[in-house]
Amino acid sequence: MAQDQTITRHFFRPGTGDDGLRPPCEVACPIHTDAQRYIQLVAAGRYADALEVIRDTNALPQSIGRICAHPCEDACRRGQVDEPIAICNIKREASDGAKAEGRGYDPPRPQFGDRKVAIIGSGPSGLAAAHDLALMGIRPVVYERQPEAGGFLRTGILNYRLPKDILDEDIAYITGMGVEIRTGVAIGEDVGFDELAAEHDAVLIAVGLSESRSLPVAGVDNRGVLLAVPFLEAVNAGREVPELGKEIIVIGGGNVAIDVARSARRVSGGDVTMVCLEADHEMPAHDWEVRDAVAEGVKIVCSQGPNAIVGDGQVEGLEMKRCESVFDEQGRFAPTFCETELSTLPGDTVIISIGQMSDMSFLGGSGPELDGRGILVFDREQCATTRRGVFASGEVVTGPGAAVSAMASGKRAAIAIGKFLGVDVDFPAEPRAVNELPGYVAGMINKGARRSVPARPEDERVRDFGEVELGLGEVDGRCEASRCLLCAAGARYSETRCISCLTCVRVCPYAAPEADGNGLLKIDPDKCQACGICFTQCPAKAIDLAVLSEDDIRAAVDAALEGSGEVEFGCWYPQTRVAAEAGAVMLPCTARLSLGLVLYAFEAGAGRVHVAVCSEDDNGRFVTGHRQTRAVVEEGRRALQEIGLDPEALVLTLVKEKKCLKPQQ
Amino acid sequence: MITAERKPFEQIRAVTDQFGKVLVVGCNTCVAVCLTGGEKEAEVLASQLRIARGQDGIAGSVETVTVLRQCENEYLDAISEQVKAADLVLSTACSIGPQGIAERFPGVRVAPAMNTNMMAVVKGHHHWAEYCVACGDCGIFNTGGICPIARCAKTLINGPCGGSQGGRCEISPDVECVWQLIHDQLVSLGLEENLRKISGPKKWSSANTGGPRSMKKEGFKP
Amino acid sequence: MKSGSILEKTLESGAFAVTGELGPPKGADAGVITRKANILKGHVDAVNITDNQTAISRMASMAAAKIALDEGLEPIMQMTCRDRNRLAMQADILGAAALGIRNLLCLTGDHQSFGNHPDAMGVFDLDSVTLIRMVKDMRDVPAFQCGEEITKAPELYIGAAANPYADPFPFRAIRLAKKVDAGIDFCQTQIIFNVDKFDQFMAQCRELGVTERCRILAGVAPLKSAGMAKYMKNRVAGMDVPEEVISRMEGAADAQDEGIQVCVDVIDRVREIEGVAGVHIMAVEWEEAVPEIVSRAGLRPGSARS
Repeated sequence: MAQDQTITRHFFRPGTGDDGLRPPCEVACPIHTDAQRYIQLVAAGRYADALEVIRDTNALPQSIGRICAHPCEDACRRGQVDEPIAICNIKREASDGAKAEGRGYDPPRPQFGDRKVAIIGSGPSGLAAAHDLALMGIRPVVYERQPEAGGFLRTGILNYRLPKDILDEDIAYITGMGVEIRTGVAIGEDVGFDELAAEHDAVLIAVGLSESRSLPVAGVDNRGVLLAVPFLEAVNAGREVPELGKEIIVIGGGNVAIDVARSARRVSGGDVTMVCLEADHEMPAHDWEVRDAVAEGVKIVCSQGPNAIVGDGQVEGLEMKRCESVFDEQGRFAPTFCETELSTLPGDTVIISIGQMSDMSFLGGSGPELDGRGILVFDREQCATTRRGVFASGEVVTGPGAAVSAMASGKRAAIAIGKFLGVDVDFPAEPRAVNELPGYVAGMINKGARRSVPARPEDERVRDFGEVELGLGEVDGRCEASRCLLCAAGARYSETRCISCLTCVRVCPYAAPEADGNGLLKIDPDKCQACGICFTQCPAKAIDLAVLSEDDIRAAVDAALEGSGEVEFGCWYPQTRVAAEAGAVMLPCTARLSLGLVLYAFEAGAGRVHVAVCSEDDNGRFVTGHRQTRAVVEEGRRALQEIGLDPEALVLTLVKEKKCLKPQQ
Repeated sequence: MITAERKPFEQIRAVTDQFGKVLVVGCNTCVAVCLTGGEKEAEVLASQLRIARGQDGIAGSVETVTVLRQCENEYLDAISEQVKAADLVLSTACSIGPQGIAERFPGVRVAPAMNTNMMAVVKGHHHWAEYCVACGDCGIFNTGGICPIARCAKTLINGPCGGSQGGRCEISPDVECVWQLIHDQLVSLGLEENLRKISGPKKWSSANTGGPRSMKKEGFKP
Repeated sequence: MKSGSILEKTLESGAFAVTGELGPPKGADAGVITRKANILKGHVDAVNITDNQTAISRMASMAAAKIALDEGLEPIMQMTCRDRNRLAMQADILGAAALGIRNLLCLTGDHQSFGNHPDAMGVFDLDSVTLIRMVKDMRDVPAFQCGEEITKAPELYIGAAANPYADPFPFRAIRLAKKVDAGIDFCQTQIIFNVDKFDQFMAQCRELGVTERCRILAGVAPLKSAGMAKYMKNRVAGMDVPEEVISRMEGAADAQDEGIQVCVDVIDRVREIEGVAGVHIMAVEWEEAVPEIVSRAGLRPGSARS
């Protein structure tokens, strides 16, 4: 089958009337990955190309494809129709698919100048900064006090969520770019901070929050009381935790607490109960994390605060008091308790997982200023500390958050350092997203169930640290990617070319174009679904599409004809090729095929042109799209007949099976 | 607006085949709005001509350029070089376009690709209907704002003939009986007495039959 | 007397008039007219000479009318607005009057697209109402349409057509009233099969005072077959053929005889309607049926002639 190469690197954002709006997923992503483009490439089965798009912004594509908190999915407008696209899983699918193809894992080798930057900490923030600095031609040297790089990704996240070999591959890509990572080097102990600063042109502090907070309650000194970070470090390193018993109480309701609980369940094989202040619906952990933990047998006790750890030398349980409220009226953390409503949960182990803090002792007093609470004084705009040439990024300055947020912070710091070192870079403008789908538009979009990622059975997975989630696989991955609505990728309108004929107003199924009394047109990007009907109908060529533009399609026709005498204008959603032998020009919907483009294919030398179409009773990806496709084929046949060509050379073929919109089996 | 329809392709071929360098000139006003002769349609026609001429081994080229309005010299001047370089200019405007080009560029061979058909209202997407024949003596105030001169097959001015049936004209079920519309409109306006009044005879001297018309406005002289 | 025609005398005397129809040939053969005239002669008071009927080009109605007149059959010359402008029409009107033609039926005319020259230009300079007004002014003022004086006025009995079955129905009697206002003396209706509806139409005409100022001849026609009945019902605009008529035709052993009987039954009913002054029998290309219809219906044309 001829490979479809329709989607090109530049296929987004032609110049005409671009209002600069971006898809909500991309805007919500802290590092603004062009999710829409890699999703479309995955839909087309072009994994290596998709991975390349991800790598544009993301230095840890495989890891983030597994553990991302994916704010993109919260913003996904598909969520207004049925469920958001499984963007995070698709990201993983891109890297898995590319790996299977043996492509996408050869790092670039940027040439470094003589400037170098020391990065303290090899967590997501430090690695992201190192990656981006390397691409600027600045040599990064990463210092990591642990024996292996990765920071919290390695010490805090367990293998069942992020296998170590996957993290190793991501890090190997970065070191392959020439980034040096010196592990087992503790700044402040092995190398003094001043010394480090003197040897480098700039320093980035990206040490994260490496210390667990403890609790000021009675009984914390008992044997069997553990802190989250050292516990996870030990488990991750495969070390025994001799204090761990069989009745384990985890104090805390965040994502780290969940990881602690799930790890404890695996290591001990015993009972694990989480105790948190928050009510069920207030828990700070992501609901999918909670769901997985519960599925593995973790019990959760909500609205209870620790009063005392019971025991005389050895933990016997946790005395709890009922928590009445967690937040005050301003939404700040200020828990109130009913001091008389006490209960005791028996247990032989308590793991405290109520948050982390930084340890800035390595600065040794000569570094940048700390505030009264021991926190770095920090200029958020410039990522700068009070000491010239010393920058900071990641959780040490942003506070706890998602790995991808730490990466965003690292990326900004890299730019700040680049600017500081005279590289011609600047902070990018914050992208703006299209708004929510209007309700009536959401109602017009065909529903298609979200593909859930398969997971190993709960009873099997709690017995080891093997990866729980298995990846979507090709069929579900491409089908899931096909659910993407192409937000903000539709009609681009040129005011100077528009003749105010109102054709677009009349043909748009979603009522996106609106004209004022003077015939001045506006195509509402919130409503536009990128079906392309207006593009085919506009008589003045005032409308083009962001994905794909007319020029893109013409170029794709030329490319398709290089290896074949026939062209298929197909649906780029998966497994819907209608003419395997033809060169493929895949479109989000063949509704965007204009008569001019059909003739262009014949003019370019196609002996036969195939057009895929949905059945009459099935609207396919776009409402009424198939009608336009049929109309243009009819028109095209008449045009061929007129010029003495066989009208049958324009073949309309029904797409029989559209797996993209079917519910999952 | 003015609407025009493309001539049958073989008629266009018969004219254009005699020429090497053909320039298809689109018009981006009326005929673009009626989706027959604007930039996109001009390109489609050019594409068809190139394929057809290529098959038959006709040497030369077919190129396209589009102006906003072919009925105004200033717009034509902008394409002067392309027009003069062409062996034939094929206009996709209403008949005014090729005449404008012929007048502006003496010595240039010009052919119409279109048949002008009417002054129309847009009834909906892909649907236009004749509402005026430029009779020069508008009397629609008396007929409820509906013109029987343009819209009655027999230009009747005193009510429907015996062929009005079910709101349709006897000449085709696709044609509305305008007098049914006028009747209903006048009844709804409470102006039934208008139906009883005898109109006419119609003054045709102001129409095209009275001779070619032109219009000059008094006022500012540059 | 406005024209002194037999038709005028018949109708103004209060006698029940009978008119027929004679279509000129698609050729220059005067014999066709004389043959048809001799069939009809004595069975009708006057006969309509059609004018390029259904927009098919034929011998001029004025010439055919003159031939019939010479044959002793009084013609009602039809004139449509489709083929002539007001200059030609006035010329023909004066010419017809000079030839002794005394009845003129003013029609808009079928659209040219129905005929054998669909690419012809439809003139429609005037419509039937303005034509009537013009003819009346030529006779009574006497003046041309432009206002110029006519030295010798054409003496004509002016008629028009009326279709009770076209739409909008409430306007049909009003339209006839307009023609009366414009100047007609008589009118002939579309072929009547649905007598009930015609009855309603006549009631409206009486209400508008039309029957006092205009003699109304009810149009009738013999059907030749059930197929013809169905064709008229389904395919001819402005025709109303009730199911009952079709089933009568379908059930008949001798369709032609039944067709004549249906026609006679219609005549029997319409002559009972107040304001009906006569019948107009349209037996085009079946002129032989007319004597039979007249006889069976007990009509006695020719009262004015004798």
